[in-house]
Amino acid sequence: MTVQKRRLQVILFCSLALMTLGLTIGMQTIDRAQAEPHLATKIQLWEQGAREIDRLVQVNLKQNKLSPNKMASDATFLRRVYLDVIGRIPDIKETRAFLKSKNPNKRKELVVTLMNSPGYVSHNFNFWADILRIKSRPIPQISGEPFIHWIKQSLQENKPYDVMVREMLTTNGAANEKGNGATGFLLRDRGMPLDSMANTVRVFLGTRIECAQCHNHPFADWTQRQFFEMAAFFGGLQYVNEMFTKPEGRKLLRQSRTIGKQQGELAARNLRRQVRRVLQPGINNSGTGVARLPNDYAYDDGKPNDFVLAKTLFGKPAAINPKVPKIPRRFAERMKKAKNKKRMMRRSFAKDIRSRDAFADWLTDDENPLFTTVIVNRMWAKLMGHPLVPAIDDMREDSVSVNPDLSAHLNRLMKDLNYDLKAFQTVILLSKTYQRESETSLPQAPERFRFPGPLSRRMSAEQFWDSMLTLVVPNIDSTITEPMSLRAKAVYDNYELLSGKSAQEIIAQFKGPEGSMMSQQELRRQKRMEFREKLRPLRRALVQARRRKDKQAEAEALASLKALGIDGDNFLSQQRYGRELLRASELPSPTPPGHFLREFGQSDRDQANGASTAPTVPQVLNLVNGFVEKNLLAKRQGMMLSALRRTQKTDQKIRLVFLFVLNRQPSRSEIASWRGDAAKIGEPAIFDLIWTLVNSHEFRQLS
Amino acid sequence: MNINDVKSESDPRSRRDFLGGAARGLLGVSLLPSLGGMGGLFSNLEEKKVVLGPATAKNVIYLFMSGGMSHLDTFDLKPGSPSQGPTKSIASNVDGILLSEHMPSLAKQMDKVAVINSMFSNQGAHVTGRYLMHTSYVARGTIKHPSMGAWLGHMAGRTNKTLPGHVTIGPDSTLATNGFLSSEYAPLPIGDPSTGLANGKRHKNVDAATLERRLTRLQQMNEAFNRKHRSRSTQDYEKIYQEAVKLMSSKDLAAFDISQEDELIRNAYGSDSFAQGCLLARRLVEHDVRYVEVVMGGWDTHNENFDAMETQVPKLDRALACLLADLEIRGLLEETLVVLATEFGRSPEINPDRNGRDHHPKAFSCLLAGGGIKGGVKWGQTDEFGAQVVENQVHVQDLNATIAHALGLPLDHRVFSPSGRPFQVADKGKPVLQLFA
Repeated sequence: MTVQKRRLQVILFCSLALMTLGLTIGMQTIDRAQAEPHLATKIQLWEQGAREIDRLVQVNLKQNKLSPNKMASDATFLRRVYLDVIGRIPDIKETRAFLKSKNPNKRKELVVTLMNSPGYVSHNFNFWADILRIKSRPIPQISGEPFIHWIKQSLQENKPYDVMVREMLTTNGAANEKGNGATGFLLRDRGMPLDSMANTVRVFLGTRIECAQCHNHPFADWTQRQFFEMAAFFGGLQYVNEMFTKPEGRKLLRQSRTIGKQQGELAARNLRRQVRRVLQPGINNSGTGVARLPNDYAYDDGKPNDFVLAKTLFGKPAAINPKVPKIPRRFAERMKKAKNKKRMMRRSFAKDIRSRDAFADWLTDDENPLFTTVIVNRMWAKLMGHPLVPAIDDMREDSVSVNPDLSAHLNRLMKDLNYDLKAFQTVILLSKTYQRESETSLPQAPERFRFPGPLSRRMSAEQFWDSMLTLVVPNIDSTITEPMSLRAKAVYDNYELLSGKSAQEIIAQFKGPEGSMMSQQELRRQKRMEFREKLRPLRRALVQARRRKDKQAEAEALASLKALGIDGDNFLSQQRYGRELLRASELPSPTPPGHFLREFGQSDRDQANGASTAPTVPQVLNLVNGFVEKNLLAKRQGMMLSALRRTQKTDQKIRLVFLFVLNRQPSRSEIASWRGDAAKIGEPAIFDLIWTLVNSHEFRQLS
Repeated sequence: MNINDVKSESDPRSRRDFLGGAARGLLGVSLLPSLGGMGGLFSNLEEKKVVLGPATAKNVIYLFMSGGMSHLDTFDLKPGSPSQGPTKSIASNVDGILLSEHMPSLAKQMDKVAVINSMFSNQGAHVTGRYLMHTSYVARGTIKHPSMGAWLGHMAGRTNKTLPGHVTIGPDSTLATNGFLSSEYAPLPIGDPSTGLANGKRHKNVDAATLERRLTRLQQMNEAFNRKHRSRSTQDYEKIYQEAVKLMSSKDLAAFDISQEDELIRNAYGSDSFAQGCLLARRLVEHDVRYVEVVMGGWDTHNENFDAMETQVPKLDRALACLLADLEIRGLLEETLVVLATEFGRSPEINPDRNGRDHHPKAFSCLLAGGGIKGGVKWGQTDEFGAQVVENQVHVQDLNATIAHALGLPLDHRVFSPSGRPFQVADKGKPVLQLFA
């Protein structure tokens, strides 16, 4: 697996992206693709992989005297693939275009187009945010924006999965410096290297070792000693920017203490805050490969505070050679005399031998069976609604795949594709197995579900929210910003402004117009005001240019807005439809308690896979009395209501609402029954229809 | 179907009865014709009829200190011990029960309270510890167990038929769960007690006739969908829609609105969200909601434990003392079991670099009060450091068995998960009978 090969992979996919982006469905994408030999070969290869999936599923079903479901209708496929790839239902234009198209390759082309649209980044960000517990502010002193930026950027570039994992485990540097976003993974568990290791092993190897943190694992074979041997790979890890282990950083902190006396408490507090929030967070030390047993260690294979050396849990040994460090004689003597030995007992003296890199090598190795199995299982469950091997993040020795041959094929495929998750998902989506009618329930023994089709399930909170928005805001995906959001940019700018500056220079920033000190809040308010001042004339210019149809003025206004980091269309859309109606990936992560997304089960992002699809009363109350009424029925400018105003005949209105909400044509009896209502009560019947469809099982289920 | 005319459900004590009840309900009428097809979901392992024992408590207010409350700085003081740190102790109105200096109000009410100092858990991580505390079972990747409020709903039904039987208040509503039991026993989560129940009333643009029309249409639409796609999830949603509509038309909806309380009383509890949650809990049990959990965060004091105690403990002290007094004045304390619980205690060692305490599941403290519990009791003991239980150890399951016993729930009654595995409330824990009056 060479880096060049991977680059090629990325380049290939990018070229594919360029070709398909902007082309509407039904155009001859594949013809063009044929003009490009690489791409055509790629697609052939993917289809071959898909056919093999179908064959193996078929064999497995047959052996168990089962048969596959029939192929899903275009309407069912359309809705499913939009939700699975870009996280929302198709809008009216997209629905009509696909259902009308007679192109025999239209399913294939749609998959490729969606895979390369901004919605892919948005939806997959939500997916990973749940697994990696991504928060906009994980700890008060740490911003989550750089990590969010890094994830979105990686998804957009389609960075191979193993490369992503490696970067999360090995990146060092100041967290708020541009380019170091991957440090956010380890900083998520700042100060808790043991939990960090437990989470890492659970998320990437599907294995739970956290019990062994305190005692020998009750069910699996892991001992507490083994847990600490694993934790030793993170030995020496420091959760600060490297500068703070050196004199200048310490000096800055010291100065913050004395400065209060000279310049007043406000200056001191401002300085401390800036240092703590902007400069200090980071990751450094690449790992000593040494840890110490806890001071209440109770087993026979070691004594409390003993050094333990990094050792892998299973499989190959790691390519490092950690050594028990020598304790300097002087320190040992000092310790003998010291009253409180506890703290001194924990001191390590071990050298940085890059054990984190060795750990990442072992973890992401082709031959680490669990690494590939877990990501294959995740991707399969993501698209098919149920994992091949039960319990994605609780693999046991006795866990078996319901279809071992299929698992073997998919594992091989994942390696052949060099952990390119876009390509891997494309293969699944191209299979007949994915494109069949869904199964509504699991069999009584869920581990015997053999995939006669995907499993129907409730939409995730994010899919639900984004789908609702699709009914209100035209071109909802324009609310998806570049991976580097304004918030991330502000974090980097702030860091750049302060990095390498002296205490005096940092404090000088808080000087107000009259030379008095400003508090953080005042400073922030001032910055916000300045920003708004710049924004107002540009917005006016853009609106006027559009009204006059002055292309040049419009382009100028858009360019000036862009220089401020703002997408003009997105900005105007927010002003028109409501600033809160952004796609879930653009809102704070997680949204605050009580938000629509939280009511519908968005994870609090405190534990991996914390999202829920269970029904709750507040959810239902919100649909019955809240969101639908407020945003779908009362916002006249909303997309569906505008379209309805342009439609005259009742039947057409009924058809339109069905296409909007359920992405299908109504049946004859459905038309008849709603026509009857309209004849009786007139216009309100259409509102009833919208309300009913959005509240229905059919809308909520991803079938 | 009329939303103002909600039929009361039959006592949902056995699976068959329960299905009949749901089928007669609002949106679930469609369940009836296809009952024969349900064999797959509810297997031949028929649950026996629940025989309730005598109960000393009707309702429970369960206060959960999330993060791991330091026993050493609240209810298990060790003056003079190296593990005590700067926290000072005060005497209470019961001989031999010492409290933290930050609990002056509770010190006057300890004659109503049984303190358990000998709690023991085998789970040292937050998520698994909270899970064990709530469900009595160790978290597994393959099944989700129900928590006590759901057990109560399933086995004993509810008293007020229009309000949910199970409510959880606070920022983290994921702790209590219906697990594998029917979604009608799921807790109703209230994020912010002062806003109460959002969207509880009909939207101002919608009159009763319109809503009724819509609900009828929705039912037809769903019936058509169910003919092909009926699943556990769609059934669960139907039940929750019934619940929601019932709730909207409940004359007891005001129970969720704490702004109707006297200003004096609101202030007496305290202005923080936990205190307001306690007040809401009292209003709810007053309206016969049977199981209310209030979650208070902020107890994970790895850093600066003693600073945190100065803010946390007074909040707890004021709200809990006020709740007990308020319940007693209203004559509710006798029938309401108040529980104070947490996932684990905190280490006797004070972490030198951070001046904090780490997780300590081997010994911690919980409280019980009201609902038939003997007051002024101290149960169990830890060693001189507060590190190990040395007398009358109470496992997490035993605490839950004690709660279940107070409610009259039979501990040996077996309930089957959809996959046919048998489970019991409190997982074979033994109730601490000595704590009952």
